[in-house]
Amino acid sequence: MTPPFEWQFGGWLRGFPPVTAWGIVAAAAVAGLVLVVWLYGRTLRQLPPAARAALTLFRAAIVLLLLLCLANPSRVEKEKPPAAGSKKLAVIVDRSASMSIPDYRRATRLAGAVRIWKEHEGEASAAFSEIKYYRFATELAPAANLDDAVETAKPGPETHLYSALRQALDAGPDAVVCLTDGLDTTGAARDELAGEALRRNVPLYFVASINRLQPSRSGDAVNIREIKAPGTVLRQVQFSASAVFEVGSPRDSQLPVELWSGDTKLASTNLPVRAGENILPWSVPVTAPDPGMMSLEFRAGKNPPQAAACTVEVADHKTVDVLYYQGTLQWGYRFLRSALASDPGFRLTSILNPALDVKISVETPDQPTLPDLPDDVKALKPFQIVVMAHVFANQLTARQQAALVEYVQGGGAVVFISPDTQATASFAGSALEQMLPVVFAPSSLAEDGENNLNGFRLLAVPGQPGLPVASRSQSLPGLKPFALPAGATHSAVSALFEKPGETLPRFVNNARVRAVKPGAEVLAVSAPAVGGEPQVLLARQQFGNGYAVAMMTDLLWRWKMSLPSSSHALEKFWQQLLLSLAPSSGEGLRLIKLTESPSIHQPVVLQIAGSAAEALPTVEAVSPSRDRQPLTLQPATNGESAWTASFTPDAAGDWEVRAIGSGKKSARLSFPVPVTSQSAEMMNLPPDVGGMRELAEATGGAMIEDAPVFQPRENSAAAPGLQHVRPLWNSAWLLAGLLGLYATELIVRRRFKLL
Amino acid sequence: MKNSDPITREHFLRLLLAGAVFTPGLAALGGGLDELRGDRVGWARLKTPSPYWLRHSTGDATLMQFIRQQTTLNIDPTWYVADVESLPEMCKYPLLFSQGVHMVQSATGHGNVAEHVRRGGFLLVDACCNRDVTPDFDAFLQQETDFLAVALPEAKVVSLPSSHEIYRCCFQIPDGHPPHTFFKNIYDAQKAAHGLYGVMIGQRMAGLITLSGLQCGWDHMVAPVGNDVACMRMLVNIYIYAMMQGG
Repeated sequence: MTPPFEWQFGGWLRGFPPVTAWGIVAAAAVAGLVLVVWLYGRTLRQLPPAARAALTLFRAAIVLLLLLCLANPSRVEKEKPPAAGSKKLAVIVDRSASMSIPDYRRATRLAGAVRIWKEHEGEASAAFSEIKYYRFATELAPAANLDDAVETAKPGPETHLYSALRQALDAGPDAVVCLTDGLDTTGAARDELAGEALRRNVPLYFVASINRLQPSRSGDAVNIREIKAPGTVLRQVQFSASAVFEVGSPRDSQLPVELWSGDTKLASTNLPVRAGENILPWSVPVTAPDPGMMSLEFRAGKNPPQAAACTVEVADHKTVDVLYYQGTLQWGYRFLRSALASDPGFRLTSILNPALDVKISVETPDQPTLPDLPDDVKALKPFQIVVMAHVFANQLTARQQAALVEYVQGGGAVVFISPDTQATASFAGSALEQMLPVVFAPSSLAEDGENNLNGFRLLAVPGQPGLPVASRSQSLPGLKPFALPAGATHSAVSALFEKPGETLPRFVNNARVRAVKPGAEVLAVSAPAVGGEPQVLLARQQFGNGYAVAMMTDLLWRWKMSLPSSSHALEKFWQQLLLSLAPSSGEGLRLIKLTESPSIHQPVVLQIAGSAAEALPTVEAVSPSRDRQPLTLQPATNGESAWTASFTPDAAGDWEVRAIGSGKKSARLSFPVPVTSQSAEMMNLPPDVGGMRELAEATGGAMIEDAPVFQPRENSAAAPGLQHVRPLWNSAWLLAGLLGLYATELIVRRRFKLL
Repeated sequence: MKNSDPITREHFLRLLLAGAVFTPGLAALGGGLDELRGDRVGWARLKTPSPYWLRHSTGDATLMQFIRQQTTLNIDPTWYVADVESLPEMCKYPLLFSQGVHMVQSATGHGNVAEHVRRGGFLLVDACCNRDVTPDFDAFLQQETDFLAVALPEAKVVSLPSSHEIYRCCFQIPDGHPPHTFFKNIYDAQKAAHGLYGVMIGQRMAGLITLSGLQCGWDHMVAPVGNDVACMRMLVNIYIYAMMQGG
């Protein structure tokens, strides 16, 4: 049904009563029309009556249309408030196990919550025309009435509170009441649910379920669910190792976590834990040592800590596929290509901008021919690094830039190289710049002048024919050295510049940057000039799963020409830079515990993941008494390179599962197996009243306690409806009509020699 | 102060209309002039003991203009000199043009030619078509080959096939054969048979020898119509190919 609408004056006229506003408009119209008639009554030349009338009409129409625009009429659409009799309330009842555990008085949380709700049920019936009941533990299910929701079905093993509330919102109620202890055992985020309820304009109300149950004395239940590290990395390259911890805690606390490699502690921190079940991810940047096998062990908790370990192969060489894209003709490519050619691990595919009309094929045999920079990320995927050299913004389409951004987010690396501030300034605000670690400086008139002074002599009569031979030596700016940024001790920097002072690159030109983005890492700056700040020459940042690098200099070919041919400094620089960006290959052997809360005589299910190209790993379970039990692997249904295995612990204590793959790769996972399951559901955690109150208030709801919370339906009828005000005059057609009339009038005036 | 004549309303409107019509065209024209160029680079002739080392240098400006017009290469319109006895001077230029390196006698000169190439430079040798300068083209090729065999023993001089990329990387060179400029425009079948000769170090081209007299062509020696442009096109192809090979 179309909502009712009316129109109103806009702008400054809106402040007047309609009669006054109409009066002002009418007075202005009359004055304008009189002026028009008077002006055309006394033209410079004699006009035929028809022409005079036509011109007067044109001008009058223009005046009236202008007045229409100035009056700023607006269409007002009013949404009727919802009918008082159509409000629906959803009441959902938490039927998880924690709600049914009796305290020493034999009172359960469920019974307490139902008692409170019954006191408000009549009040809710007065405010809502319809009340629907649901129950949930892991899934939301409809119930015929409150008794059905409370008494039917057995208590569930977990509490998927936020998921159930989200499902309840999908039914489109006007409000939701939840009888729960507020303990979501899935580790889901509360904020997302609050945002969803706000978006739907549905307030959430909670009936807190409280009894006198004492929390379990077993303390936090900590498990390392999985750890993740690449299978192979290059030496001196930085990579990420991550772990996911499961923590069930009766109170807000902190979980101490550490990462070790052999006897060396690589990182440690305390992760915040809130009461209930927590899923805590932790990611650590690790720098690969010299070639060999590197062991990584995550430890979590205390007395004793839980541990999970894996190995990473550190390689000296691997194949790196590089896609090189060049926007203009320049000599740097010759020297970069040569630098990479000295290491057979680099495979280079080159594309020149098609507008250059240069057809040179530099392709890796098993790579497809690329006529231009792909605008589909799939075509970029075969490459680990894309080098963009001397590119101008107008050479790249939005789709090509979007493909590059998606490529880096997916784990690729882009190296953007340009020594030209004018060129880099053209990327301001582009998708490419948003991905890069720097904000480009605008091209200034002063700099353009300087470039012109130092740069090319584009003479009207080229060649300077009169120049004597003795003077025919090209004057070039001197080579300027790279410098390490202040306090640069990062291993990645030292890997690129192994012998500072001896092998630091030198450049001729560089583009300026306005700022380095937060989180970006500056690898090199210019040597500080007298009275000047060092300029950023090389910076990189992690973007998604990949890296984006900005190199603000030329491709260093003049530096190479200045070095003795015996020097391999340029080769080393390019190879180290690109190797540091090459994504880690594959994933290492991983053990993932699928059973959240193991207990004796209950099967523990594990997933073993690794590279598809590698052989089937061998897996064994080691009991607390060090008895070994080989496990049989079954192909997993959710991945080509994953298997599942299970075993049933027959004794309580610390169990360990070991997996050994090809090439000395291994993974290890240890976890406690208690007599009874240690899930948060059964830890007698106290109700999360604070969390419920926060969620209720964030969505416009409230905690249901003693005071009434629902307003009777009669009051809601007075609620005003929403108004949508849309200006009517600012249409392109009206403005075009206005201009058309004015142009026609001018033409007619010219026709009759009035212009 | 001189007052200009007052502009009529009609004149004003005409100017306004003309401005509206032509402004976008002028903007487009201006944009076209603002060409996108990379690093600046100079063109240099290798100064050797030969009395002919700067022969045809007066035509180099024409070549530079042609390169700037036909490519986005940021090449200096002025031609420069690189003395074979000065390695720093030579290393300012990634490509050195020479009338022939066989006249280089000194050990320093030998070493500098080799070092320039080993650092990644490119050596382009073009034989002048004049019989007083190059009496025998086969002998000239042998002299250059002999010089390189001594100075740069790791290099090999090989004849490039007509299917080579150098004949089509920018301009399509007809029949995969370089244009020749003949002395006094008299056809020489023996010279015409020569193609281009690459100075190869492994898989990369470190230099190139032509017997075509390309410089004679772009310096407008007596030749068929269009020979100058054909020679400059061949040169552009050689230059671009040199840039796109590993140094």
